[in-house]
Amino acid sequence: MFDFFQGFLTGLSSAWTPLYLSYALVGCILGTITGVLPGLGPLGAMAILLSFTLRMDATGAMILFAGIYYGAMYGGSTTSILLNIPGEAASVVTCMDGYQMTQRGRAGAALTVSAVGSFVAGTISIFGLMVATTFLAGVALRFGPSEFFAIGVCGLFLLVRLTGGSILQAVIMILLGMALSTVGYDFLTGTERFTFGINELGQGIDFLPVAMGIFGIAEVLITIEQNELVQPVRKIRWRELLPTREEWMRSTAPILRGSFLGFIIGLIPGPSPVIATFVSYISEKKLSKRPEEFGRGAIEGVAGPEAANNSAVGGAYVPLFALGIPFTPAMAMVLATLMLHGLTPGPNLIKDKPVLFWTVIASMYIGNFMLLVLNLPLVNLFVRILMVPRHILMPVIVLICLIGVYTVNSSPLDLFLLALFGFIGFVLRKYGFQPAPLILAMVIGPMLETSLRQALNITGGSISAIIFCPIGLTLFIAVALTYIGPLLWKSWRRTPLSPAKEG
Amino acid sequence: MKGKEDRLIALALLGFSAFYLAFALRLKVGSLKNPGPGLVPIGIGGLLLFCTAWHFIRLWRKPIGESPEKEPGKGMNYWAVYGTLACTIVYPFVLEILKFILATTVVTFFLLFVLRPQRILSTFLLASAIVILSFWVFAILLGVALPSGLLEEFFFRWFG
Repeated sequence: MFDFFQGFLTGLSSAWTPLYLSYALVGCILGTITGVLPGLGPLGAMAILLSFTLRMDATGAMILFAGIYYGAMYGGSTTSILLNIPGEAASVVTCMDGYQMTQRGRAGAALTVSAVGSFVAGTISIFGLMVATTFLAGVALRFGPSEFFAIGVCGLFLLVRLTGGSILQAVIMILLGMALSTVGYDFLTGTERFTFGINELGQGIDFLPVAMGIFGIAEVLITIEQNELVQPVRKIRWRELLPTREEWMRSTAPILRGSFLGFIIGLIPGPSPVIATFVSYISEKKLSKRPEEFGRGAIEGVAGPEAANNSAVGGAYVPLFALGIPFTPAMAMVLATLMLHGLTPGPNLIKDKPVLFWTVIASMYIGNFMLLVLNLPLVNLFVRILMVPRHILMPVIVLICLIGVYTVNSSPLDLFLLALFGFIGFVLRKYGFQPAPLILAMVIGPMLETSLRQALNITGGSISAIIFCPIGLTLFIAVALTYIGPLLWKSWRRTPLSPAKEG
Repeated sequence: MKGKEDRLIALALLGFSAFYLAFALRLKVGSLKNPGPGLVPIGIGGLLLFCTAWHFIRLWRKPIGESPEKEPGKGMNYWAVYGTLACTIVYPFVLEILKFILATTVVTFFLLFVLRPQRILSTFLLASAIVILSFWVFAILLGVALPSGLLEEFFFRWFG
């Protein structure tokens, strides 16, 4: 039995090798760069680099992606604070008070509080990840196909609820993703499905060209569609980076609150880092003695959300490691990486590959520390990346996508799929559809179909036995409450209680 | 007009759903006790058709709105979008014929040109530099197998 602390120490010694340290460093730098660049988020970066991780071992690939995910959260805050440009969605909230602080000459303090807050939150959430994953994985070992089917379905329902925008559009995206996942040979009977005589489609539509098309090429198309001008960047001096004693005092509690909130929200399906920042901002405003300062440069408005978005990253890893189910698109990328390396994440991963799990956990601590050390001294350098002309940067990203997709199977069909899904992703996003549920459903789809068919076989075709298994029923009720609860709350608050109406 | 384009997308989604369901219905459904390969696709197809039809009807009933006015200095660069898409579609064809360096140089040249038309010579030099750098990174440094011809052989020898 791999002991908790022994496991972590083994992971630490494994992560402390030049190769893994270099992967963590490269991941952190690439993540920060993608966080700085508006449009290209961590998801795009992971999609672009997915094929290149084949040249690494699974542990190295996981370390690289963890660094990218954390780095993007750090990088996104830099441009939000300095330029009022959120590098990625989770940094939108930081713009509100971060940029106001820059206008008042407190940019350095905002950047330092944001970096320290992110570091503290990252550390807390990684500890939470260690505890929650080992506990949940132990429980999940007793799960059968019915339970996994229930978890998958509930995850998708919650995703629809939390994605934002139209629920109908999110459902359509999920069904499209699931439809794509049914292409290829049926895993039980070997029957060809939707291959139309194309042999290469027998193995199914590869996740890689779809993800790189939707998040890489489509992202480029959306960026170049807008003729945006590059803003001039103000230089930050070293001495400006130090917050005052009062600023530290005001930031401590929001950082801690944001860390706990972020981790809990990270466990929920959907764009958890984004939701975490909004929830943290609203809670800080409600708890603050000076709510009128929010939106005018309140440091709590930077500290809380920045801690929350970093903490949500740790939370998002829990369902993936413990259950093998990705609840966010970025985790779908991590899952795809593991699968490309022949590994199946889930409760057995920690049991069968303890060194991989603990090395990745330990490398997250190291990566977090690297980001803290790197980000503040190099803040001026990272911001300068924004000055790289778009007409040079975008063709380079397109080239990386093309070469990346081609290198996996040397298949022209994959390149066609890349172009096709790039166009589809561009059109869908332009007309208000969020492509993230499509990608998630495409990854979860085969697992859902397998569990459903296995569960039907085991229960002799009894659907009620699948729905009414204890875990399934609990989850279905919980998800139903998330849909019905707000409606009941609204109608209860609207119920007129005035005597005039009652009479 | 935005409303018309929305309807067109909804119609395309509806068409795809009908197409998917039609092909799913050809698969063996089996029974609940012993589900066949068609059970899940038919379920997905049915739900998809219902949702896309609902979406289409909802948009059809909505009045078509006017296009929002463009902000000054924020004109949509459709030429660059379609040019980039065309480059990604053409790339697999030219890659088979011209091999990596020539094909990638041609595509990069057009990508650079559609994004910001500049002098042909300077765009060509920039494209060549990007391609040689990417060849060095991917083929030499990372050892990626790229389609090779005479030019690639020459660069392999040159880079040692």
